[in-house]
Amino acid sequence: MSAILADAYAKLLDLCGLAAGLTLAVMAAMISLDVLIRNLGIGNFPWLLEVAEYALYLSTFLAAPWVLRLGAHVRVDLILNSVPERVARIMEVVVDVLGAVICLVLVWYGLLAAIDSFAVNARFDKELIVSEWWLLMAIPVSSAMLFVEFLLRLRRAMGGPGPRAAARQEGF
Amino acid sequence: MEWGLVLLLMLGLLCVLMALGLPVAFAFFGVNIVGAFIFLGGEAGLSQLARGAFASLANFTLVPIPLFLLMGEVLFQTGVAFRAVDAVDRLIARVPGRLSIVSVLGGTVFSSLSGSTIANTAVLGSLLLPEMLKRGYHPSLAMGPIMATGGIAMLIPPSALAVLLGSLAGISISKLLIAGIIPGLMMSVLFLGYVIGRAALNPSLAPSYDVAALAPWERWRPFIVYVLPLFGIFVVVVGSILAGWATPTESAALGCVASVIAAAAYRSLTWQSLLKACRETAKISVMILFIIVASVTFSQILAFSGATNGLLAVIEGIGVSEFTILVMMLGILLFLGAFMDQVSMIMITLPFFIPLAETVGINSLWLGVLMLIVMEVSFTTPPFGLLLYVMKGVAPPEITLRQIYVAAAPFILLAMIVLALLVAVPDLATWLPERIR
Repeated sequence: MSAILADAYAKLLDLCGLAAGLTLAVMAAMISLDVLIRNLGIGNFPWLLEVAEYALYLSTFLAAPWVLRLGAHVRVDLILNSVPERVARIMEVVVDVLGAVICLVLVWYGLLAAIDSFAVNARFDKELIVSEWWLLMAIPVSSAMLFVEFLLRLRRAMGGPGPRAAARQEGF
Repeated sequence: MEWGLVLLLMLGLLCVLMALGLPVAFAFFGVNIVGAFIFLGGEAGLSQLARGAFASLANFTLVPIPLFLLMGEVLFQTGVAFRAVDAVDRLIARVPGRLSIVSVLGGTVFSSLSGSTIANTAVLGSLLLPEMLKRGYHPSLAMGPIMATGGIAMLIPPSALAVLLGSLAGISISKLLIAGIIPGLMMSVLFLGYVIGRAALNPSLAPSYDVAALAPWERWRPFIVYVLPLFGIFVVVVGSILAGWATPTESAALGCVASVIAAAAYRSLTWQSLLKACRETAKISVMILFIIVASVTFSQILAFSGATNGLLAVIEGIGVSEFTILVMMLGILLFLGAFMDQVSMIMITLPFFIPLAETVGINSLWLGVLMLIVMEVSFTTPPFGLLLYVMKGVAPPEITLRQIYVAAAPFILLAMIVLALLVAVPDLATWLPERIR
């Protein structure tokens, strides 16, 4: 059962990553189309700017747990790589516990912010009318997934292979 | 709380969390939680943290970052970039240090098509390094030019880092992108001069070898077919900004479409490569944007708690000259760059540097370009320069990290010469962007 769950969760994370990537591709296509039809004098998409902003925000939050799974959130592993294996393992455990606690705080206060926003019916009223609360909900949802991910890393750090496996390769 | 104590608490905690190995974005979040609780009014401050996270990302000026990365990834994953470097390779005749020259020229060409230094270094490293080592090139002339030219990708537009810096520092993104062209080309020329000079003085560093004799058409054909049309992409991106037709976001989107069209025209476009490019772009841009989410609030807390103003008042009080302040800023960045990534460097220093520059009257565009150059240098400064590790990843296992450090050193010096020239002659940075309509 737990294997099936783990597999389904991994697939969900992958899907989030793919969705974020495709969102960027669609954004590029739509913005180019907007430039084209504007210069042809056919019109334009006045809502595009707003949608692109929301899309950038949503895709970042929803794909962040996937990036953590890939070990691609950049970190300074200078000390981690120069201390004895046993110390490194302890540091890794501390890091995962800290990460989990930070995410838990973000889940709780993100949720409170969304509930507050829902209660006063806060809305963005530009080209589109969007309720703020459902945009804010991305934060607790993403943080909850990140929390799970940190717990899984913690389990690995305590029993699985050492923390030195992941090489630092991400950046601009 | 005394501002000095605030600064010590916020920066100290950040350094401890980062040094422990907590991913940078989460280290910022951790400090923000503590900072918001103390300085933004307890629980209300923590709810404000969530709203701040939303506001920091829902920002149209950040959109070019993933799009510039996507451009480079499309050309990288579809193999178009490899063919372009290969075409440059055919063009160069039997000269000393031939493959080092190919890497500088090919890397500069790819820099004008990609906003990603990683993609640039990976293309050059995987394509040219094995060949160089096989031909008996000394590691310093084999790896040095590849890493150095890899870093140029973030100076010559499209550059994701220039967009990030411009957006967060309130510098015109269009102007900052265009301002990177001249320093980028200056570096490229210096690197070229250096590899030719060294190979000529000491041929054993880069043994020359017979290049298959090719008819002129055979030599030029790949360049005309695989490189010249790609300049069309550069023209679309940079030309549309220079002419004032498109915003950086729009030019980045057009660049992506142009890259896909180019890959399709070369019959290299597959669904698989396109999906891979999208995934890789998502991975890198989410990592970068997530740090931005976390660190924008960090600088807001610093400002709100009075730490920023406190420090600025002290520096103003000392009464040091504009030049000294500039050199101090660049020195701090160079130091930080040896230990941390470019996004963190920007996010930690900007809250202080921008108001400071405004106070003493340093041109922000000029400062932006100088910061970009320092960041380019810090890609290869030991012990933590990112490209050193990318190189370690693509180099054969017998190459040690120490050899890679040594290989990077002369190029760091050359980049510092360009930095000094730009400090002495600000027009080198500001002349071209002032031509934007």
